[in-house]
Amino acid sequence: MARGDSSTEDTVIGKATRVRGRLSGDGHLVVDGSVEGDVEASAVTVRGELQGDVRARGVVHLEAGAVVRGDLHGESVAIDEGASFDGHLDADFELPAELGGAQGKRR
Amino acid sequence: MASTVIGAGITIEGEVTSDEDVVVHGTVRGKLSAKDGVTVEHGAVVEADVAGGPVHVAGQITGNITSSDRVDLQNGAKVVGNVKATRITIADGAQFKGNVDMDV
Amino acid sequence: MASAGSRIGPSTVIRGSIRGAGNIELEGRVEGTIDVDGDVIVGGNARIKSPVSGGRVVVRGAVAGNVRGREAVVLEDGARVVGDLVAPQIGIRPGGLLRGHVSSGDAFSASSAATTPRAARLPAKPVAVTRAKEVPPPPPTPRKNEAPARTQRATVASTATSKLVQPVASPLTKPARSAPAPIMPTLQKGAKAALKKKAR
Repeated sequence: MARGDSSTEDTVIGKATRVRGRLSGDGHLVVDGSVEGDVEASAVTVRGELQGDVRARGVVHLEAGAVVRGDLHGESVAIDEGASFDGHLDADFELPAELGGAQGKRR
Repeated sequence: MASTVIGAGITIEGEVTSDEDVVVHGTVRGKLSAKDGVTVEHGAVVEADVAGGPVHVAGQITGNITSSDRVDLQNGAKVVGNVKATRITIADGAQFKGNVDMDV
Repeated sequence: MASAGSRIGPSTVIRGSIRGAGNIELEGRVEGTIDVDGDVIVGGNARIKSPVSGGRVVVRGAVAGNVRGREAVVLEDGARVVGDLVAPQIGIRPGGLLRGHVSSGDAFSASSAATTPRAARLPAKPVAVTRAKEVPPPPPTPRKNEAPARTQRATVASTATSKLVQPVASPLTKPARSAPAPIMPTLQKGAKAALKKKAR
C-alpha cells in the first residue's frame, strides 16, 4: 500500500507507470498513468486511466483524456467533457420540495 | 413578463398552465390555461380547451375557448368549439363553428 | 427569436410530454417526459421531474430523472440532478451536483463494469485499458443497425451513439460485447502475396 506525502507535495503517478493496488495518502494525487485499485487522497486529479473508486476529502477532477471506471466521492467533483467515465456520483444535496426534496437522497 | 413560446416543431401532450403569455407555433393536445394572453399562431394546432386573458387565434383550435377578456379570430384561423368572452372579433377569412357566449 | 426555439417560462407548468424538433429552454416546471431533437437548456430555476433527452443538454437547475444527450450532457454550477447521465461527452463543472450514474466516452461503450459486483471488477490480469483518443474506429457490427437514421455521427464515439437507442429507463444495460478488435486487421488470403507482387 503506497503512502503519499502528508504535506503540500503532489503525488504523481507518471504516464509510464502502472499501479495495481490501493493508493491512499493525505496530499494531492495526480494520475497520469494507469491505476487499478481504489484511491483515497485529499484531492485527486486523473488524466490517465483509473479503474477503482476515488475518495477525496476535497476535489476530484477528471481531465480531458482521462478514462475512469469506478465511483467518485469528494467535496467537489468536476468532470471535463473530454473525459471518459463510467461510474457513480453521490453528491450530498437536496432537490427542491416539488421534486421530492429529501426523498431524492439515496435512491 | 416574458412569454412562454411553444415552437413550430414541438408537440406538447398534456396540461399547460402559466401565469405568463403563451404563444403557440407548434402543437398542444390536452389543456391550455394562461392567466395572461394566449396566441395561437398561423400553423399552430391546439386540440385543447383554452383558458386565458385575451386570446388571439391565427391557427387552429379544436376545443372551447374561455377568456376573461377578448377573443380575436384572424384571417386563416379555424376554430371548432364554444367561445366565452367579453368581446369577440371574427375577421373575414376566419372559420368558426361553435357557440359564442358574451354573458349579456 | 430563433424560429425553431421554444421557451417554457418560469411560471409555466407542463404535465405531460414535450417532444419534437427544435431547441428548448426550460425555466418552469415539467412533469412527464422531454424528448427533443435539438438542444435543451434546463435553466437555474427550472424544476424538472422527467427524463430529459436532447442533442446537447445543459443543466443549470433541478432535475429528477435521467438525462440523455445524443451529443453531450453538461451540468453547470447550480445543477442538481438525481438520475443517470448518458452521452458521448459528459461534463460536470464545479458546482454541478449529481446523484446517479455517469456513462460517457469510451468507458461508456465498453464492457458492463458498472453492473458487475465490486469484487469482480478488478481483473486478475492487467486490463488493456486504452486512452480514449487512441481507440481505433470499431469494426462494423450488427449493433450498428440499431442506430436511428438521424444519428449519423461518424466519430470514434459511434458505438457510443448506437447505445443511446437503449430505453432511458435502463441506461446501465450494455449489450454483450465480443473481444475488442485487434489493432492490426488480419490479412485476407492472398493479400500478402499481392502486396509482395506490388512491391516488386
